[in-house]
Amino acid sequence: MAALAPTTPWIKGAKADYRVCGVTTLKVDMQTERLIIANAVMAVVCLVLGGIAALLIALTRWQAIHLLDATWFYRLLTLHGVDMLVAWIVFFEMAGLHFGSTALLNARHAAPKLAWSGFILMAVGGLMANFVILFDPKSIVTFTAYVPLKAHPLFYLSYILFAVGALITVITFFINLVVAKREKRFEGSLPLAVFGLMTAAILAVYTLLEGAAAIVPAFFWSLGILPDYDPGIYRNFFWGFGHPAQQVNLAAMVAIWYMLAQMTVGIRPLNEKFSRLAFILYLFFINLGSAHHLLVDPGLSFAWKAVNTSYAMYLAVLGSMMHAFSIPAAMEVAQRAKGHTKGLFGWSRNDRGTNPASALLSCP
Amino acid sequence: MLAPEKTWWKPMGRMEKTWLTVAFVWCVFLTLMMPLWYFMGKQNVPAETYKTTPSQFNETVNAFVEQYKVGEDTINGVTLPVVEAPPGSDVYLRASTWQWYPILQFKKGETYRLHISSMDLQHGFSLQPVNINLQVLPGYDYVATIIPTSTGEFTIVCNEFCSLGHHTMIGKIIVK
Repeated sequence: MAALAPTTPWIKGAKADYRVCGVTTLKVDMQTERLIIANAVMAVVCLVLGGIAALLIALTRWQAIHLLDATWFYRLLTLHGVDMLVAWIVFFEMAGLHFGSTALLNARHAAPKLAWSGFILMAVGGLMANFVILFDPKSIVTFTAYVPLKAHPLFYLSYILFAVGALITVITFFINLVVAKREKRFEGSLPLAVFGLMTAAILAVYTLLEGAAAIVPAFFWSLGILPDYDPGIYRNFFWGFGHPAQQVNLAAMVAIWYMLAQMTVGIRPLNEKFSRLAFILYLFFINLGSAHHLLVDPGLSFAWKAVNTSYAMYLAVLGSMMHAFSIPAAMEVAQRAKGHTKGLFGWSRNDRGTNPASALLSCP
Repeated sequence: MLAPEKTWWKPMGRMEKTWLTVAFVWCVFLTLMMPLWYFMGKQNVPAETYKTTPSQFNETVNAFVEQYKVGEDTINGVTLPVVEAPPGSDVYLRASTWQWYPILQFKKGETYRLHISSMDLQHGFSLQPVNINLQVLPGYDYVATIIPTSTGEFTIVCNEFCSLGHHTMIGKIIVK
């Protein structure tokens, strides 16, 4: 790993404010570290809230217990959806983007103030959504909030604040890449893991824009400014946000998978072209999959449904198949080179259980 | 993290090429299955849709019930008309919070054009236990051409959350 000497300041003449990670030997900018911690902590807080809701929902679905009445059941179902499917994953993605665009490139955070403003908007939006759902009976509309089921205007506003905050954070990711390149923190192309995170960031941009296309009109409609909002159009745009939000997560997770494999097992990607092509397939085709939420909708033809729900010939699936080959294959090569050659699968079970990062690696 | 070498655009290895080919062939196979099923399969998602308004659709439903009413039945303590139209005709089902109206009666093996629309919120038409599902939106008249293949009583449940009485929204279809 070609880390710079720890004495090199980030900017000429400026005081060095970073630490060197004892495990990975990566240099971590302290500004970034605080941003990562804030985003990751908020992510876990949302996970806990959504998890508690999930437990109570499960105890209600279990007919022998049937814990909650209908009002509380659907209230917590709404809360669970917003916290789990939006807040938890997007906060954690933002932490990952901050890490990927700085520590992995041996670089500083170039726009910490902008990143904090993004975080604050997301935190305000996330908490506001939780409060509105818990205290306003009108806003029990589930995570999808299908028009013409009308929630309180603050419900839509909280989605908008959260999305704008996320968009700002994604923009700081791109700023960091450009500045790191200009400051010559890395040479040539981006490392594969950062390339993967960049795929996730690009997916996030159009996911959030589609979210705006669905929710902003709904906000004005709930205020009575917009008289009519077509439910079919809303569904189309909402799922352009609701489904790809999980695909951003997928691309980020695969990128982190490459990163962990590199850190724990010491892989070199077998073929950069192969792995990068797989990420590009995600970029172009994965969001078509959101159409499967409209599979039994009126007004859409068979051809439209077939092209979209099949990711245009399953090309995004092909991307996943390629990653599923290339990561384990690179791990096998690295492990065999280290001497773990016993039998056909000896390479796959060396330090599981002793090295927590290796255990993490085997999770996805 | 290691940046890639200056030139990382290299030809793929034999294993990678093989894997890519196998995976791609599988993708093509899955893709071909979709139109194949559309033309060969016995059950498909309908696409026929017309623009309507809740009041316009409501009038059509009321006229339809008046013309073809054959009896009465109760669901959730509410008396609903049972309607049987001649085979081949257009039949209408109205979704509103939280009721499917009316109770439809069909003859096995005959063809009907089933129109479904909503008066207020989004609803989900879910025919149980055969598990046939259609999204019901206000302003959209969704037409499914159906041929009932077995006799008996079937339950319609709403599978789209339509505010707090959603779980009580059930209806009935009878096939004789």
